[in-house]
Order: sequence, then structure tokens, then C-alpha cells
Amino acid sequence: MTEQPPSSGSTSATTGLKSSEKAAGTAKGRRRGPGRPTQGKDLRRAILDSAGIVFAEKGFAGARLREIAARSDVNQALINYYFQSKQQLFDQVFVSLGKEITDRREKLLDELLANSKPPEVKDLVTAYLKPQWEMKHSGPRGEAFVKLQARMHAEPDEHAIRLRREVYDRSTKRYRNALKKALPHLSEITVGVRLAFMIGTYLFILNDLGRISDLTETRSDPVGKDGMMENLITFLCAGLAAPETHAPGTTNQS
Amino acid sequence: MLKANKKLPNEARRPGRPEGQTNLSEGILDAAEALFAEQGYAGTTLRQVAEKLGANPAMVAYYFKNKDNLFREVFTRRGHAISSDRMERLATLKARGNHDLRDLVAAFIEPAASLYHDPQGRAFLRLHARLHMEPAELSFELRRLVHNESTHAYAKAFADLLPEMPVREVYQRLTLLIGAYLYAFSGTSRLDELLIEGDDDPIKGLLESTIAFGTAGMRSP
Repeated sequence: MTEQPPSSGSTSATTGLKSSEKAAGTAKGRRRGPGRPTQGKDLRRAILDSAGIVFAEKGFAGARLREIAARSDVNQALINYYFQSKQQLFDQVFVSLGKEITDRREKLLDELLANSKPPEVKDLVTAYLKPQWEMKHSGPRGEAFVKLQARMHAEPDEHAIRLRREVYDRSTKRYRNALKKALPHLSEITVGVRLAFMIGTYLFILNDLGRISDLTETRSDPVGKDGMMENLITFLCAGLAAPETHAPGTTNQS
Repeated sequence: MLKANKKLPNEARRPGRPEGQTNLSEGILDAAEALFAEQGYAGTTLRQVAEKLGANPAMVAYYFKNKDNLFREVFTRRGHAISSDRMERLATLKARGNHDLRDLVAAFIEPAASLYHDPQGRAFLRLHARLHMEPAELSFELRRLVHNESTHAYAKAFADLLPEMPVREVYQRLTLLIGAYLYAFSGTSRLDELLIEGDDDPIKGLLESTIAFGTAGMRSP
């Protein structure tokens, strides 16, 4: 999670996060004076974190900058100064947290590909899912992101789709290629479709952890721990590897 | 604020049921379904529903009292239909005998997947797929109300075919199956982009793929 892709404007937010993490220790306990110099990055991060929580709870339309300002204990004008608009604030929240997931995902894939043995389906599925679970259990900020992500998948306007592409496409394509190699009996289209099933399934579980116990009536253990994770991985691996059903189309060269 | 009776069309104030009631209340449900799917529960108002129909907001309130109730009616209208379709298919399979996992998966998925054929049905799938973002007291209760009976019946039928699998795990797998098809059929997955490239009948192809995926997933030890 410490490696960032070459910065491209929008990732400067994430790089800012890292250095502010380190700076947080020294800045601790100091009061803000007039202006905001030394703690700028802290504040920026505080705003992003609060914004994530508010957006996750209220959605884009329902979120108010005033509330985000109050939660991060800053003046609303400062939010405008850093982020210009609610939309840009939202985008930064989503992109910076999303990239944490996809960077981690790609790093795990790199590790798998560095092995002498090519990765199997289960290795790939596990590596793909792991960063999501880590994020979910990383505290309020991570939990908020997971909710936000669910919204982004359930409310796909043009803009959301563009952001999703920006955040996920590169790593997802790399996994798709690796999966295709691990599943030589399937066409490329089929691998793509199954990967989409996989994403849908894990998002549903990730968002709905509490509801499984609701459905099973056995409320004893909180799901979302490793039991469900194992079951999810088993289910997904089998689903991904199922025999080909799809008659390859004309555009498909297998 | 509901006293705006004067603004109601004449027939609504007459005693007895107005002629157009079924159509109008169905129309309200359709409009609400589309808006809830797009904007969610919190983002939707009765006024918007009325505007979409070109009706008076008081009319919507007259038929459905309030937003909470309207949402319930929207959800149960199709939810019950799906559920009873599932139960009928299960009964048919049982009567016929010797069904396998694939038959069960297909019988479970098809009633929901068939909604994908028209935009209104797709709105419901989308509303269903975003239910986890709606107020918990509403979504929990509605799911239980609509799906409990058929979910338990299917879990039992799956468990009969999967004697080695602990029952709890059967339920978990069934939940995974729901996740897989909901996303695929909610129209939010960008799957269309993938499917259109190589298929004459994308919906049928999608259904076949979902069934294959789900069957393998259910079966795996």
C-alpha cells in the first residue's frame, strides 16, 4: 500500500495521504493558528476521511459540505479551497481510497506472477478479494469506503462509470488476463463475464454481511470472518472454472 | 396537507371505487419503482412520483398513504410474484422427480432473471440490488416477508442434493447465488459491454452463464 502509480493529478491526493500519515505524529496535539501551512495535509486528509463517511451515509445528493466541515472540524471555506466543489471532493475520496485497493491488488498479482509456478484460479481469486476485506476491517474510514463503493456500483451514471473505470480497469484487466491463462478452456468473453459475476457476488457479500445471519436464522457467529470468506472463495473458484456454455461469437478467436 | 380534495379529479371523490383505480395505482407503482431504483428511498419524494405521472401528489397519498408504504407496495408487488413463481417451479421439479442442481439453480434464478426483458422489470432488479443501501428496518423486513418461504424451501431442496454440505453452508451458498445473479441482472455491471460483442441473444447467454456459474458454485465441495 506504500507504492503509488506515477502521479497523474488525481493521485496527488493519495500521495498527500501517505506523507501526512507520517507527519501525523509530530503534528499531534498542536492547535491550528491562523492560516493552515504545516497541517495542510492533515486537514486535507481529515476532510477526505469525513467526506467518505458522510458520502457513504447520505449518498452524493444527500451529503452536505456543511456536515463534512463540521465533522472534520474545519471551516467550509477550507473545503472549497482544497476541493473546489462537492463533485471534486467526492471524486478524490473515491479515487484515493479505490486506488489503495487496486494498488494492493496489483502488488499481490505481481507477487504471484513472480513465482516460477503460474498462479491458479484460487490464488488469483484470493489476491483479488483480500484487499477488499482488509479495507472493510480497517476501521470507519475503510468501512465507509466499502459502502461508497457499493453506491458507485448501484448508481451507475456516466460519471460513476468513468470513475470506476479510472480506478479499477487496469487491475481488473490484468486479473482477467491471468485468469484466462489459468482457465484455458474458456473464451475471453466468458472469462470476462465470470469475472463480473465474481465482482457482483463479493460486493453483495461485502455489503450484506449482516444479512446472511438474518437469512439463516442462526445469529450465533458474525459472518464476514474467515468462514464466509472460505465459502466465498470456493464458490467463486468453482463458478469461474465451470465448463464453457457460451458459444464463442464471431469476434472471438477461440 | 392531504386535504386538497378539491384538486382531485371528480371520480375519485365519488363513493365506491373509481373505474380507473387499478390502472392508476399500477401506474403509481410503476413510476415509484423507476424512481426508487434510480434515486433510492431517501432521494425519492411522493411529489416526484406524482410528477412523473402527471398526477396530483394528493392522489398518490390517497392510494398509498406515505412513502414508506409506497415502497413496501412496490417491493412486494414483484417480490411476491417472484417468490410464488419459484415455489411453483420447485413443486413442478419435485413432482417430476430426479432433478439435479442445475435444475434447482435455474428454477431459482429464472423468475427474477425474466424481469430483465423489459425496462420496468429491470427497474425492480435494480431496486432489489440496491436494497442494502436502504433503511435497514425496511429492507430486512421486506426481504424476510417476500423471500423467506421460498429461500427456506430452496435451501432444503439444495441440502437434499448436497448431503455432505452443512446446512449453514448451503444457506451461505444460496446467498452467494443471489449476489451473482442480482448484479448480473441489475444492469449496473457493465456486463452488457462484454456480452454484446459476441452474442446473438445476450439475455439468454447471460442467463446460461449465470446458471453455469451458480451451479458450479453450489456444487463445489
